[in-house]
Amino acid sequence: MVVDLDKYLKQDKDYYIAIGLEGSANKLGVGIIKHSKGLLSNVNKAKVLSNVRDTYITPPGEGFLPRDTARHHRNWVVRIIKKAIKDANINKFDIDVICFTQGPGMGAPLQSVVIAARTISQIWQIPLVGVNHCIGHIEMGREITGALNPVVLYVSGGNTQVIAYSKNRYRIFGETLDIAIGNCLDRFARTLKISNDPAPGYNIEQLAKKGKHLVNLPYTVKGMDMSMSGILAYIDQLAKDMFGIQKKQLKDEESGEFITKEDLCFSLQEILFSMLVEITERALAHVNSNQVLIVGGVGSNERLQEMMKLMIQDRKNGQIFATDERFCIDNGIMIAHAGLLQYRTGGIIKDLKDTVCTQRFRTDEVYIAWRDD
Amino acid sequence: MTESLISTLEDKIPNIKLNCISQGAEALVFESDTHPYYNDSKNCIIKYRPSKPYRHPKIDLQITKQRTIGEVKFMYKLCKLGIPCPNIITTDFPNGIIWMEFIGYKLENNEISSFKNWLWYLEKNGNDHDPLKKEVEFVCIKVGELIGKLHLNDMIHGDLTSSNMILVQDDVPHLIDFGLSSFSGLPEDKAVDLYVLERAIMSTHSVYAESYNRWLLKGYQQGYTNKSKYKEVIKRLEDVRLRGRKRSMLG
Amino acid sequence: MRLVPTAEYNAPDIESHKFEPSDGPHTTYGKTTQISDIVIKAGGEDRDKPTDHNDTPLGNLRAELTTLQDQINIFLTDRMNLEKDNKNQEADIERRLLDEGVDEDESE
Repeated sequence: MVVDLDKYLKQDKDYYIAIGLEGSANKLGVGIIKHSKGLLSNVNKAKVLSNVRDTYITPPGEGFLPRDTARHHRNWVVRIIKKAIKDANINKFDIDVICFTQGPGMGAPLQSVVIAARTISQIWQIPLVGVNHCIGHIEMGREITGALNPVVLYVSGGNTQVIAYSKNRYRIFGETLDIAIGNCLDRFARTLKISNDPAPGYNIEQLAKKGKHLVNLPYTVKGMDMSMSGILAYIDQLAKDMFGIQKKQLKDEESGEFITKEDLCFSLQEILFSMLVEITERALAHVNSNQVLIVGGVGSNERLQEMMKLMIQDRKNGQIFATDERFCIDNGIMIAHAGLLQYRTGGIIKDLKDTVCTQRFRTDEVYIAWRDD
Repeated sequence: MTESLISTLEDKIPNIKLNCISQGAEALVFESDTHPYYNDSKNCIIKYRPSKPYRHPKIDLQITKQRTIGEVKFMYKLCKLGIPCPNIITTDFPNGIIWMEFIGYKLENNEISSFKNWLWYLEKNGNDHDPLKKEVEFVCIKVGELIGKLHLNDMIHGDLTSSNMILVQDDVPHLIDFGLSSFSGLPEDKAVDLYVLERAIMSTHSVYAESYNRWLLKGYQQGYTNKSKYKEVIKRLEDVRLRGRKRSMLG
Repeated sequence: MRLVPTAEYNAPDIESHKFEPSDGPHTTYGKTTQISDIVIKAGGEDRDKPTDHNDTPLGNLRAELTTLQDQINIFLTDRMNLEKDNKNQEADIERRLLDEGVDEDESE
């Protein structure tokens, strides 16, 4: 049986256009996508018409507060929507569906974006679709890379999950037992007072490239799950001892050289990414798969991609798929794409009451009607 | 590719016939009809932890050694307690090699008789092999009992999934794969051990997970004969589950 | 055409409270919707200021809404503070009862 994706195609039209609004964390993104009718395949790919993003950036040492992030989204959303429509060069009345992130994420920013979605839906008389942020990442990753049925490593500021598809759901095989990987890196960046521009994780990555000495850190994998809060507490303490009032300097055992900020970033990345790659490999072995797709903001880290590649090379017919920062980092286009798939299988919201956002929205709660494998 | 990994083992133990039967996440598992010191013997299993090129060499060395030694220690203790697992034949820590007794049999679909493969076989082959029949309940309870006994002795498996249990003839489950094992009396560690299994069952056997998990916990209660400690673990398990569901997704 | 936003707040302990923007002038710069002090103190700058409103029905609605939002925020913050004060007083009585052994009758 093949899923019919054209039951809701408008008369006299042989394509669909969707606009997607994303604002679950500190990025505000609006994207417009086009699907031609029929099943998506490598000869009938989704077409990105525009993909605009603006990031709320805080001073070094500060995280982003929900109310300021929400304010950023509120004050920029109209300008970003206008730009996305202009870049796409379409008439707004040609849009079939307005897609927005319904969760998971931070409450206040989610709410400020859904208000924009509701408003344009009512002014333009276009239906709404609520999208799970994680599903957005997965579907966009599959579409861009052509990975058919991969094990997905989803790594971002708020999420760390190893996911595989089975029977119409993206099921979570492994995940963090406490904090998310991006959160762990961001918090360490704050301890070191590293700049948040363009992103704290990116700046840690650059520092790590200059690191040489590995500092001993705990390694905490539990089955296909992992835990990071203990590692963060440990390295945070090291950093405070080294750069605080005490100036307690630490030496590398072999070379006798002093441990630097760069070495700490390097060590943290090495240990955390080893754990990520290991739980991904565990999931691969468990579900007998040989494809890996990395999505989410941390997925654009080159060292993580390199390590994953080295792992997959040692597996039979192993393949790795990753996207670049346009699609890895939160964006509107992925919401438009996943939302459009949902629209094409009848998933529109019929009552405004059902547009309420939720901070906790698990990946496996969504019924994937557009897949039948 | 796997071939190059296999050849690294062939260099370490030459002239031994090796048949790779599975590539797990951290180890390659081989079947061999050559026993290291008996001439006439049943087949044995050689578990080999190759070096992982993605890891920093320091991390790699530490993990390989720690896990190989940890696994052997754990199996030795299980053997002393009479908890079913394969017997160890010999070990080579620096090279990450463990020789052990072969257990299990081939299912009708030619897969090895792990708990997972056995359940999958029943789940796929519909009616005459009803996945909810008495035999499945019996095996789930047996598996639960086994884990209960493990925890009673303050032993934590660390990677409980349906792949890490092998059924031998007459459906007696044996535990395998102790690379992440540890010794701990804390209810928290036992609860996380159970939670990891519960989640693995949910994602691997989603349709029947509820029944399987119920039966597993029933067996666990039977195996964990220290009632007050058992209750502590179950209470903690509820906390761990809640933590999982309520985990903040915030950046 | 003028679009006028209004709001109404109801709670069991007070009479219903109605909010209406006054005659104006109204702007999109709300008193209660500024960036947090923390950000400014940490050396950040506010690059997320709202744009000015246009002189159209929707644009004017936007400005009047900002005024209305200020009124609501101030009202709700006052109510929250009042509630906090009450709680603190209760907690204080409880603390004195427990820690200082003050008799309940005396404290009244």
